[in-house]
Amino acid sequence: MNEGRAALVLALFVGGLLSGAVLQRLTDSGGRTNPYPTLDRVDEPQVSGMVATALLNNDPKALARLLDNGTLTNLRDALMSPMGAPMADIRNVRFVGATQKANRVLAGYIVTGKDMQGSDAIVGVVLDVENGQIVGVN
Amino acid sequence: MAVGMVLVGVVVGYMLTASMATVISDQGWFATSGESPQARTYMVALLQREADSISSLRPQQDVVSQALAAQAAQQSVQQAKPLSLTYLGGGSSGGFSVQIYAVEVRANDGTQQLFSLALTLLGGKVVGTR
Repeated sequence: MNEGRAALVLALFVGGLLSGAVLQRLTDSGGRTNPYPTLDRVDEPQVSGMVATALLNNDPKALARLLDNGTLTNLRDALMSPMGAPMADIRNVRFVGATQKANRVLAGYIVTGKDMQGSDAIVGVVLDVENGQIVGVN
Repeated sequence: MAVGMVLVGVVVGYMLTASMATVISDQGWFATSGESPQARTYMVALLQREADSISSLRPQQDVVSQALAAQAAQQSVQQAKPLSLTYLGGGSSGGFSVQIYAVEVRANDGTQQLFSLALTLLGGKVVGTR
């Protein structure tokens, strides 16, 4: 086989390879589609933003002012790493989205940091806001 | 010969891309805050009470745990009708991915409830729900 023919065969193979990759991306549905309606997204509620800031600043006084005893207990339970250890060092609290139904807003946050075992940890926390007050934590 | 070479290339390219996409998604590499297909599939299966689909997206479980999960799915059939499913957002760190959803249901007594579910995924499997 001369060099020109070898180059042609290689080019055809590479062309096919790229076509196959493009075809896969075009035909990949990316899992099941959501058959249900979705609620509209809303802005971050001010009060849940204050809780997020208090967590990030490691500010227990602000948290105690913003949340009642039961909600604080729920928040402590929510801030448990996937390995089952409490989050000891919160490095980042990121608002990811909120939605609303009637006067109730669910605001989602991703909390990252280190847990008590020193491992990297990530936790999802949802603050339940009603009439400008935090009424629940998940 | 030429057509055959192109066809071989297409098949190899297709399979390589599909394999890479699966591995990248399962391991959480290059993960962004976008919705995970596994999380969405899990949530839809949960709302449609498909015990088998839910089980396939969970880490391997013993037979009793699977039976309990099937019972829970059956009981929820009588309890609530899903009205909406909204993806709020997510993130990933250290191989774990967290995906947050808001679910709205209508209970048997006609009341509507809005609640959240946070899924924790590892290696493409749902290892925790809250």
